[in-house]
Amino acid sequence: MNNDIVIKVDRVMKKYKVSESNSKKGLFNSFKRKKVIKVAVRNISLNIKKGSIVALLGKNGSGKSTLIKMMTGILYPDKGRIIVDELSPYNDRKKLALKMGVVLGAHGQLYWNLPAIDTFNFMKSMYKIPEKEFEKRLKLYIKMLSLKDVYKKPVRTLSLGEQMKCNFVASMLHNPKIVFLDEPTIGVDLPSKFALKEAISIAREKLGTTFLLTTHIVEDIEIADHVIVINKGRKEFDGTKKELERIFGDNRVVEIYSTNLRQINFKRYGRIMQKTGDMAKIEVKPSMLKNKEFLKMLNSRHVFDYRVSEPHLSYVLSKLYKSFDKKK
Amino acid sequence: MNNPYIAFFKISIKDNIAYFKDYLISTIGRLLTYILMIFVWNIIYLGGHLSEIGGFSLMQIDAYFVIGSAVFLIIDSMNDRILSDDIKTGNIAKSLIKPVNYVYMVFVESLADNVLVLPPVIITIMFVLYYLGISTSMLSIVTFMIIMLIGYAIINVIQFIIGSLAIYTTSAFGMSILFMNVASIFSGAVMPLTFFPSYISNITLLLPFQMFTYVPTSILIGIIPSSAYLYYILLGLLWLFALSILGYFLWNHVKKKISSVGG
Repeated sequence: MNNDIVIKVDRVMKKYKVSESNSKKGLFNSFKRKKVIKVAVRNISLNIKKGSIVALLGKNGSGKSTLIKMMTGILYPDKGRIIVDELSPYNDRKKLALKMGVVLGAHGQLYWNLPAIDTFNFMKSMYKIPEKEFEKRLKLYIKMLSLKDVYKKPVRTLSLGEQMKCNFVASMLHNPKIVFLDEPTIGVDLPSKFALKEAISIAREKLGTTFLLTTHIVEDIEIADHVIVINKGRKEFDGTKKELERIFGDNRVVEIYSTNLRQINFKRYGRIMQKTGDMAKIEVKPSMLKNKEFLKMLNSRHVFDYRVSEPHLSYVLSKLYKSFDKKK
Repeated sequence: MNNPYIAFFKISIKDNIAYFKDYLISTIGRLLTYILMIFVWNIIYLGGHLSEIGGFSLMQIDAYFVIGSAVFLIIDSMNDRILSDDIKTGNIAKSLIKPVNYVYMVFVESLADNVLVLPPVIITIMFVLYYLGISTSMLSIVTFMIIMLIGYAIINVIQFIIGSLAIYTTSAFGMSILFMNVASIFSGAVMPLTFFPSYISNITLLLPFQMFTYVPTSILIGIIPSSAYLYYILLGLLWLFALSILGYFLWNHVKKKISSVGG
């Protein structure tokens, strides 16, 4: 096995039963429920390199959390094999737990009625962190995430973002080699988001920590080196950010500012993405940028400014998601 | 001390203290129903001019109800509700990502719940023994404690089994209620087992439920003679052993099926 690979997922499958309500009409039918077997993860294989930051993207219910739960040993895969840092998550769960940190968005590790410092101290005993090391790391994270006035107050009095930051600290104190972050930026305000992302980057830089984060938020992907997109339990994309941006070819986005937008028939040049008072945004093929007619239009007197750029990641992603829907 | 389970025990107690007032109020509420039972039995004994029913004098039946209700209060491990809540809410993930054994974590959590009730229970028992002038030997007190421990271990295992069935039903609430109702009858918390018709009491005297109230309470107030102590200890251990094996295999089967909410 390649030494650089810290997580190896090999043709993993996971099904589960859900009860769906019956759509048939009638008093009794509405109470009947049928059991449906849902495939949450279908034959996914992937490799994650040591010290990388990987973003796992997908719509709600795409199987992201199920995949993470299998990597962390919470769920057993039905088929396939997972190796995390040379351990099998479900067979060596306790051993692996010492090396990993997990932030599960909705289920914080913090004790609701107690200040976060109590949870931190609990983590110290749980992971047997030496006192001096513990003090040092705690000080560092409190400074980095500006938690000085926060960590001694009962968790229930904290804002969502403060809770998330404390949760992050709780799962980082034992210097885990691998950290799983399930939607770490839900409800986090802008400065905290930056602080969290910075903390992730610093941990990777200084300790060589590997991060795997699931998210819906495109800005979160900025810090990732690698992106994996899954849909309906299938892996649809696995590559770098640049590769993701290019997934629909080298199309360019042209923003055109004009006093008289109605005069111009944009449909001739490409797909209209957005149109506001004096601005139109269109997606064009790269060859269009050399098209004489197009250039003439850009330089006409109606147009007072224009800008050419690569499509934004969020646009690429929404297009990718839409293409999934079409496949159905 | 860097033992994870001790650390978990400490933080759970700290967390529980936040709910302690609520717990105390509900406990007082439950004790009130038992006080009502004492009035009822007093009327039965005095109205019928009876000096003894089923081997219990009026003083013994009063002691039995107060001590028995205190014992039944503390013996409930709540494992079924802890486990079923963990499964229902997906909180089980919180424990599974830690380098600890989940089953021990459940036991430690339930112990942290029970420890807080221990002081009022001990005070109640001591007060009753003193107030009613019941003399009890050192051997009885020690055996009482042993039986309590065995009973607590048995109910832990049974409630753990009920809780793990939540994997199939998502919520074990119905079964928890059923179990507590059956247990309160067959444990002798509603009335001493010897009050039942003999064909029922003969069966209940073989079941494990009696360890939750009837046996420890009767030992303490001198209904069960010291010659029978060893029999009850062995019977309790036998049940504990058999149920533990059942629980072990069930849990090993169930833990592969855990699928918390959300995908």
